[in-house]
Amino acid sequence: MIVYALRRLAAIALILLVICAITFAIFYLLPDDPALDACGKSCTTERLADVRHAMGLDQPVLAQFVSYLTGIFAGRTLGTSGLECAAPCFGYSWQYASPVWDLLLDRLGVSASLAAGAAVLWLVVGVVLGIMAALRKGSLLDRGIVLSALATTSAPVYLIAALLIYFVILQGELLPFPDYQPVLDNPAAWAASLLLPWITLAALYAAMYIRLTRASMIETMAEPYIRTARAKGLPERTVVVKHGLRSTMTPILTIFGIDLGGLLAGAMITETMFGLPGLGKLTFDAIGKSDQPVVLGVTLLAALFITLANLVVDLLYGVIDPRVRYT
Amino acid sequence: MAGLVVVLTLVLLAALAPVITAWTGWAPETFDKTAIDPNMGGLPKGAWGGIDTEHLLGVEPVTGRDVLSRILYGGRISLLIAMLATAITVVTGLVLGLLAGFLGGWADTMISRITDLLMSFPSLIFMIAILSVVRDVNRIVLLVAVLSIFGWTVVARIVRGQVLTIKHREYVEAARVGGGMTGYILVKEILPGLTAPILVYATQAVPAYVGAEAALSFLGVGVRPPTPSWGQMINNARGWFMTDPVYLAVPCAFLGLTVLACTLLGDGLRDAFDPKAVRS
Repeated sequence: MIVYALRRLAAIALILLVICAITFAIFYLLPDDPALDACGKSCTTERLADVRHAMGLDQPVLAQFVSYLTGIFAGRTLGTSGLECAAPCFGYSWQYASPVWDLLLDRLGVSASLAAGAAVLWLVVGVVLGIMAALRKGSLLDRGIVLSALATTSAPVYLIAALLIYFVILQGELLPFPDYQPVLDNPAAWAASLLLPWITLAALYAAMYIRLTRASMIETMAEPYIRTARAKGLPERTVVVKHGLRSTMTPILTIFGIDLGGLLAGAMITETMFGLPGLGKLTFDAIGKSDQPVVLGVTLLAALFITLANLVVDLLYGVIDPRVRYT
Repeated sequence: MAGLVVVLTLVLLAALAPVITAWTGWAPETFDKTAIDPNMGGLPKGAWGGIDTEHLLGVEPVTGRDVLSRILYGGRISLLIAMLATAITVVTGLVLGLLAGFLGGWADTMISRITDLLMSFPSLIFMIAILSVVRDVNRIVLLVAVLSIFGWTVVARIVRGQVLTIKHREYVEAARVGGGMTGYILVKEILPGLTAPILVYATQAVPAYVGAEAALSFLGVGVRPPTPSWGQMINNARGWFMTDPVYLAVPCAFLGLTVLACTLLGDGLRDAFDPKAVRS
């Protein structure tokens, strides 16, 4: 299993390198010139050349790429500007006048809080309702759950967010408009500011998890080993939780890992609707101002999360399902 | 069944957009200053976003453009992008998945590695980045292209898995022993076995792409004004939903209806193809 994990980590490093190269190449080849934006409105040809030189943009692309890569591990000085960028250096945002890594760390807390809370919510709601529906298949409860799941999956996230803002914040005045507070400063304010974004994001995913859990559970409960467990005289509770749920969780865990990995920078719409200063918002603003170092940094960070989440899921398979063998 | 009817109705409405707007008399770009109230900051006159017999789904704030007509024309764009992207992903994924599964060896290794790579991409960020830096290209073509680049991997995986199970079945072996050429076996023996999963996938892909187009246009990198699309209408309505909620609700409703109908259609298809399923 350790050999397997190490091999996967090597593969992840390779994938990240390729993603980095592709993203780098695309930004280099595209007509957008970051020096032109940094130079400002009253830009002369000589000044532009100076700015390009200071930003290190006059180097050949391969040299720029190599210095970017070494910067991640060893830190570097940016161009001839004399700016020191300590490791891990993911470049420097001229827009924010700050190293990209600091910006990422700064925004990561918001996105991680949003993702984690929403994930807990949708996983619990999705799995519990899915199991309830599966155990009483065909009943009124089952139909009700399936129908409401269908309705929520179809509701666009904009609508859910707008309805929550309209009824809870504006009409009901039950919560203030989200104003993010770090969890360590004030846990209550943190939860209050994130409650509606959590619900919005969870509603988006919970319905899918209900459908998935229900289908998987129905299939599992028809397996012969469940009949055996019942025949041994085990209480129904043990049959469901220990025998049924365990193999039901395998497919759900796969999707969960992929969803969670993609969520950190993928909750862009939710962050935009609620004005949360997370990674999604950072990316969106950076793209609007063609702040390429930031976009590159977020892309790499997001790719790292996606690949690591997949690895963790694959390793957890063996814990949940003893039939799984690593090769 | 209900899903199929709604999907067909939506497609028909979008296709007949010019006919319908000719009949209602409001083109998507026509301003109607009489339908809005300049004293209220450009809000539509009357309750419910200005819904009346003249403008069946209300009007846009400030400009007074007819929402029904913009929905219909927007639906053409949204559905066109979704269907083109679905067609391209299905064909690309089918071909590459077939090659990977059937040929095995280096073809399989290469295609699987590319799939792994693309699946590790934070696709939304990447799509937005490409869409925002590429300027003077037809937006619809560009949207279809970026959606397809990241979409085909799913189909390729499904097809590859299916091919691996089908290719050693007795009837395929029999065809090979009988002297069938590779092309013949692929088209006549293996392809029919893939119809069901691919059709089911396609019914899920269309609403997913409608949603993706809406998301990208909502974030301001999709279809550009004055061309209407549902996502762009939602983006416009975002600043108005506190004073004119109907303006936001209408495009959201059409988006939701499309997703719902396609999901129902997909479920129905799956049940129809699955011999184990019992109709309840």
